[in-house]
Amino acid sequence: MQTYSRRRFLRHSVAVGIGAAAQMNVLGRVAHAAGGGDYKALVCILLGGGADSFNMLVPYDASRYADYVAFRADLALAHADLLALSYTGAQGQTFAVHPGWGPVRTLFEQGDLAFVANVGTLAEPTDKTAYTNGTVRLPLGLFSHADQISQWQTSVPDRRIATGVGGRIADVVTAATPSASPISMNISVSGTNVFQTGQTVTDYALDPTDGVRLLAGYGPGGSAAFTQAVDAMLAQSYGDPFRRTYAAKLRTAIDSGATFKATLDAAPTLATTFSAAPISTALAQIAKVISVRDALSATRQTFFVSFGGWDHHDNVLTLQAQMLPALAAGLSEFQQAMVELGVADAVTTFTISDFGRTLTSNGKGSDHGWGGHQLVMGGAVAGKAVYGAYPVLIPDNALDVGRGRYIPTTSVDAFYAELALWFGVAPSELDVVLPNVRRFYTPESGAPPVGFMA
Amino acid sequence: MRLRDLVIASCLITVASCGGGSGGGGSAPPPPSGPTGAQLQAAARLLDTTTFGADYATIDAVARDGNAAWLDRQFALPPSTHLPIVVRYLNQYGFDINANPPPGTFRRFAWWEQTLTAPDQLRQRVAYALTQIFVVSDNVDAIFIDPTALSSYYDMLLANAFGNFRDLLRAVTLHPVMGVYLSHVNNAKANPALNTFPDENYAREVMQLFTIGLFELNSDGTQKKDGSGNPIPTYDNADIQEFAKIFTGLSYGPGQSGVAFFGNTNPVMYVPMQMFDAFHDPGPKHLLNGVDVPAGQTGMQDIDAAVDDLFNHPNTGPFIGRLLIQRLVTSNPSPAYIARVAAAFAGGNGRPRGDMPAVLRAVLLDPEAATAIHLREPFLRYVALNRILHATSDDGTYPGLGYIAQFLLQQHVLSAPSVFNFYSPNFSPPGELGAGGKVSPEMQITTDSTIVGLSDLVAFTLYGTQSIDTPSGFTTIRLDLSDLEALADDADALIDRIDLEFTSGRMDAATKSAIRGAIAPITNDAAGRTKLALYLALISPAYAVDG
Repeated sequence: MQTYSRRRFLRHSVAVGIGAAAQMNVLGRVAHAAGGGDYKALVCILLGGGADSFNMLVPYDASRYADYVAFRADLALAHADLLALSYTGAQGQTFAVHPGWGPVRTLFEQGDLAFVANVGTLAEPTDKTAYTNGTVRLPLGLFSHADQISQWQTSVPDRRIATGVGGRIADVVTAATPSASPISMNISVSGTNVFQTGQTVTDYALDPTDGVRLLAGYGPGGSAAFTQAVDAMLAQSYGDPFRRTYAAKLRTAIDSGATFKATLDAAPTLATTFSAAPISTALAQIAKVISVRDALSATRQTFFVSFGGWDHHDNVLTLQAQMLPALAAGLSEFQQAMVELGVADAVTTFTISDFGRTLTSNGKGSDHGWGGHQLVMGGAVAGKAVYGAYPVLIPDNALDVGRGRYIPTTSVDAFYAELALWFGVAPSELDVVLPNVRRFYTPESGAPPVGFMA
Repeated sequence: MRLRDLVIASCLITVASCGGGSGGGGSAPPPPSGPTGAQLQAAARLLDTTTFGADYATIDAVARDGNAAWLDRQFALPPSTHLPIVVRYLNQYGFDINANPPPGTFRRFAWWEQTLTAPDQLRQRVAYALTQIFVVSDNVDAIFIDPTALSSYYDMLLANAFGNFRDLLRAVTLHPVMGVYLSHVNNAKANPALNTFPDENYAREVMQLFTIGLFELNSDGTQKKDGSGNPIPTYDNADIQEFAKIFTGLSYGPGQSGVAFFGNTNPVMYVPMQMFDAFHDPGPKHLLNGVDVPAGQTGMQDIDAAVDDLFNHPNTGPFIGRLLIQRLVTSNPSPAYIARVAAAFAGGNGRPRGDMPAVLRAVLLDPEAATAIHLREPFLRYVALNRILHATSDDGTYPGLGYIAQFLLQQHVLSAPSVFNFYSPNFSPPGELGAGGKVSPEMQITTDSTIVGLSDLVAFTLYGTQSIDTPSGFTTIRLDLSDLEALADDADALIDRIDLEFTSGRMDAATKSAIRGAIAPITNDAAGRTKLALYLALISPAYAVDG
């Protein structure tokens, strides 16, 4: 019945109205330097809303699949439809991915992708007894979107803080090696976010479709009188912090935009093609920025992209069947682009999400849970494996705090510690990047926090 | 976009050739016994927070009558509704889901038409504020495709904006659009045989976002603390599961077919949801603050009990009061300001608890409103531009889509990315504001990309020949700058008029000077002078921040 979706219309009208120029082939082609020197990037994909990851990474061996079906009832995927992974975990545990995740399976089988099972926000190591008795610190606003989506970005679930993991990583990295780049090392294609906000570093927001926007009529080729007036307005010292903040923001956007746009306009055209879905458009924009990393003098970058709409209280099977293939295509295309650019080993992509969801059904979908599964992708990932502990899917087990909401067995801190150490954060700096990390991991231990980048 | 950039840039350079053509006469002399400048500014200030934008004629009229009289009249005006406009479009164009634009966009046409023309501006403006508290969105296909959905929802907000908060909360709870958005439509009681449980979505968000928030509050909106100095949660997950049982048994009401049944998957978006008791959890439920609902009540009795429980919760007044203050007046109200609004919510002086006009007067007329400051919503800047500059069309309709604006601004009415709105009421930007403990929700969508996008949108709208949001085949919308162009020969008169209309007469001297300098070289081109002055004024920090 719904033959005309809002998404389709929106794409159509924007493309007709304004986006055509963004698809123009760029004339200036520059042979990109073969990824010389030291470069690394982290790409964070936020699956906003709390993805039902127990239907993304599914138990496959007969007995565990039977547990899954009994627990999930009308939400269970058919065994015959699942895409099996050639990996065997503890006690003969085998896994499959969602039927719409063919490209993810391929990446997994190639060794370029791994899963981390039942990872989530923890204020300290938590078991069911301590949870029930109230003898353990818990994440603030547990099971609520606003807090959990933020805590997955801050990794400080027992406090509400303004800085995120990517921001603090950038603080540490740029303090050690001041960036020669005119553009922030933290680049978002989904607007301002907590993950990339640091004490000193904030994100540069790039439009996923338009890329860099330039102020109409400003600068060379524009109007001198207009340019002069804008400069004068932005140069004055305003008496209130709101105007000072706004003026500084517009000034920065104009200035770094001009530099950034010139650089991006000279980006090489990739042979890799990206699909039209928003997640692919966003990842293509990130690939384009990575392709000009040398021109930007960037040696470390983080990227942030949000792919929302996973809060599937309703219609979870239908909606996942629509959305997961788009995600898989985007991931696959992006990884291919990284290979083309010669930086497959230097770029690590990972997903985060508010929370996992209840194993039990509400008759239409699933409700807010706690631990869930995430994926990590890249040449440096020790792929073709499932890390952490995939729970036994039996009601009221030792992790179940109701309806199949699972206490995470791997903390977000450990997850990020693994990524931060790979990125080049020194063990001695982990306390700055992850203030709670010692509750889960000893930075001096030399052991990998989880193992997926080992 | 680049082509447009070029067009605009060349307009700015060769200003004489791109003007609108209407020439500028001299400025008219002021009327002999008009309002004083201070009266005009006071009227402009009130109109800035209580309308979507007011031109000079409106400001002048209100200044003559006085602000109090204007507010009284606004509270007395009946709602100008949106659904009848949608029906008009459906009658004219039919319901062809594959048409371009699809019928789902008619609700936007209706919104623009009423927002730009309706006399009950305060009510429309309050309903708009309520859309950012009781958030639903056309980013869900089922809501997008049916133009009756969001127009009916908006009409529900309009109808209750000047009523009582309890009725508003009940109407929001029963509206099918909310039922779809937070999935309590067709939410059945637990079924042990199938191992299914009630949907917890609405139960959680009605508490977290629509009434009481996460932590217990004092009447001034500050958090209560336990013995260890920690905030006290208002509810836990067990409470949510109790409320989830309350919101079972609802499905769509009867549409034109006259048929209604539980499990109906053909949405009827313009009548309240209906209770089907066979699918409602019949057991007892424990609500907040010691209220117990006995077993065996009807579903509607249960819902009324839950609405009462939340309406009477001590958090609701300060929680909702703060959100209304932030949407209408200022980002960082003092605890005393919140306490005054919460007191109005609590009732007294012959007004019942939850009386919306009393609450709104407390929000709008508080002494602290005079020193209020906040970043303007990007979308409201675009709306004000169209209203103050007399966006008009030949047949009086306004088929604006708003999609290009939305693309550039990341904001459009009833199109938030999630129930958490476009921004958080607690967003505290890094830098000086955050360090000073200030929140600025609107700063959350003010990025390198949108801050330039908004400025470009202003340029496109001023220098284009018609609204860039009018879909092809529909009546053309044009701005009418003639009253400003009539002042254009006199730079100071032109800039002062723009200042009064957009910045309530509070534009700083340096900004005015910059604008004066920019338009000085443009001679014998009233349209060119007017447009450039407007472009600069409307992207200036002086205007971006209200206060």
